[in-house]
Amino acid sequence: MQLDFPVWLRIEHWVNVLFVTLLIRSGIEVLATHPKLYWRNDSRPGTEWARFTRLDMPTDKLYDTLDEEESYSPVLSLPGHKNLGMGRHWHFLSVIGWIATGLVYYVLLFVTGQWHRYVPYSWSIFPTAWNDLLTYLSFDLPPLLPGQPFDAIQKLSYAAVIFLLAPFQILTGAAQSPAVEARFPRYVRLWGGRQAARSLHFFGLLAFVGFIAVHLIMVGLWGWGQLNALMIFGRVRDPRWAIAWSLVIVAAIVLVHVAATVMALKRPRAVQRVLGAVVTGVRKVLLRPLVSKQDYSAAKLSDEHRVNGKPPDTDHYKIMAAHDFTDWTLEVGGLVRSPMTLSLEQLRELGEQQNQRVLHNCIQGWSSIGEWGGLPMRDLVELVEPLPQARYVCLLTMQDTGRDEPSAPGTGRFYEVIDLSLAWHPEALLAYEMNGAPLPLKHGAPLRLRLETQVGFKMAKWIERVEFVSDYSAIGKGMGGWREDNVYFDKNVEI
Amino acid sequence: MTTLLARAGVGKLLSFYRYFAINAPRVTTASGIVLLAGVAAIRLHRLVDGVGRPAYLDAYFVLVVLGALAASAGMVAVRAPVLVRVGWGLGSLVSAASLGMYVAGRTAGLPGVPQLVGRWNEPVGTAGMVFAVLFLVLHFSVLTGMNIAVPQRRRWHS
Repeated sequence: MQLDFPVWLRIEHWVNVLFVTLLIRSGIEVLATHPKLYWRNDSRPGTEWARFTRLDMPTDKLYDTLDEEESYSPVLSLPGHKNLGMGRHWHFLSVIGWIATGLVYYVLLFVTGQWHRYVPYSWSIFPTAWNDLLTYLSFDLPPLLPGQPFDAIQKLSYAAVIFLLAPFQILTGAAQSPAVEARFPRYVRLWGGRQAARSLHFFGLLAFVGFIAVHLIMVGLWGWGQLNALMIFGRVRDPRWAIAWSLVIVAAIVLVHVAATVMALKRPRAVQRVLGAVVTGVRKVLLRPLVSKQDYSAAKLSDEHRVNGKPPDTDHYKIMAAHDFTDWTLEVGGLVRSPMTLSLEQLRELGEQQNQRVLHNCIQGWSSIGEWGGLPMRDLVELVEPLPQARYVCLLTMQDTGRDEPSAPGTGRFYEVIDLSLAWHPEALLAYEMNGAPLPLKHGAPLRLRLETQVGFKMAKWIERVEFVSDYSAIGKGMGGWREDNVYFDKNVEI
Repeated sequence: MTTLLARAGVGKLLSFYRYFAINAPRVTTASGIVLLAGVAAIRLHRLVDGVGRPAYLDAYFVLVVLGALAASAGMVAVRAPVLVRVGWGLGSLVSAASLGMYVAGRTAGLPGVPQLVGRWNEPVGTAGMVFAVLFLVLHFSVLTGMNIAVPQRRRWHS
């Protein structure tokens, strides 16, 4: 078996460079939105093992996690400047491309017999690799393995990256999906929990960055022209051409990064629509079928829950809160046979209260475990009888973002739209209790949504109206929610 | 001058470290001790390898080993923060000295061992340089606040 550089391997290599670099930059953008890493699920403030921010939060007033967002340079992150929505679109699109590239790579490796270049099949490779390390420490180059393109330590390193590190990143990434966590809570525990998976994913990022640095040094030491000739033309004729072409390819990759960054910063709506369509398609196939089966023990409940979003700052809301929301009503209408208006008391008496102890996932990356009590959405849906044309549920809240969240990039009444199919999920809940007590103001009193396969922003707080609709293009800016309209998140967020 | 540095973005570049803060004091201290142990072990190995060399080099090796031991002991003296700081400082001194002696021996040359000049092909020596540089980097990260070492604690409230 001749371990040469077939066309598919060369193409895969450069496509992989593009996707990995996009993943790293967009991953840094995702990290920037909550630049703190924890080991425990509760993400309790002050317990992080690492932070990548200069921001310090006030002790004398309420702050929320949006205040903790860090703005990184577009040189480092894709696209930079606090653009989580754009970062996520690029990250997930790159993930899809990268995994597809990897699957094709795996298949071709084993079909063509090229797996011999990576897979060690003799224990003797380990002492040889040790000798290679000593040779490198002597500022010399070790011999290549007979008939192979690498020395022993290189072969082991590539095998580790391709067969261990890459799957590790995919698996720890999946462990951060609320849909996966909700359906397979044990899988998340396997990694030590949601935050441990996030921290491990970060270590995987560091490992990739380290590997790339060493890889480039090695290419430089062994001959940039020679090795690039092999990786571009498949053979060595004129290394000068290979050097020139390698620079052209690197420039093209940089150009893609620049274009992706500029597009995300200048035309975010177009990026949201195009990339979102691709990502949503894959997400609906892989993650939408997952249904929450969580039931954490009471001992796992978090002592403290972070807050995202600030309560309505109006006299009307404060007066209602002072009277335990006896004056509050929930209007349920739209495309339904039986519209209704319910007080909190009536809502409580509408059906048997359902309690669920679940892991909450904020889109920013922090999490906590809480017990939520309330009315299952399906009970309400059955009661109001949606008309056949109803496909979505729009939850309108009392929060006016411009008034209540001055630092938010947008104004207007906060709302979120969910697919009607999600309302039938067993743990889709209109929650009026948290941890056995009435829902606290900062967590959405008197009523909030719980949708355990989605990230937190979909779970609208301070709800005052539920509307069944056939289309949401005329609501707000037509993207399916306030955050979708203003910060370019996806409407469906199972990850 | 300050304005010039600010305009050139130097200040921003130099203050980049402020974006990093790790809260793993035990890991930091353990890493420091392991790195110092690496530096010391290589000198200990030299002491007992039976190769003839000037007496001052043997004395230097003994000093490095004893210095690394003393530094490690100071770094874990959690009841006396002053000793901890002295321990880290001594560790940096030992690392810098071992690095300096190694590089000097292979460039300018040391008295009595001219044969070392240009002899960079010693894996153990290179590893020693790596350990020493890593310790200096680690200590720098502690001094700048990027890392903390025992008994320091982060007092993060948010």
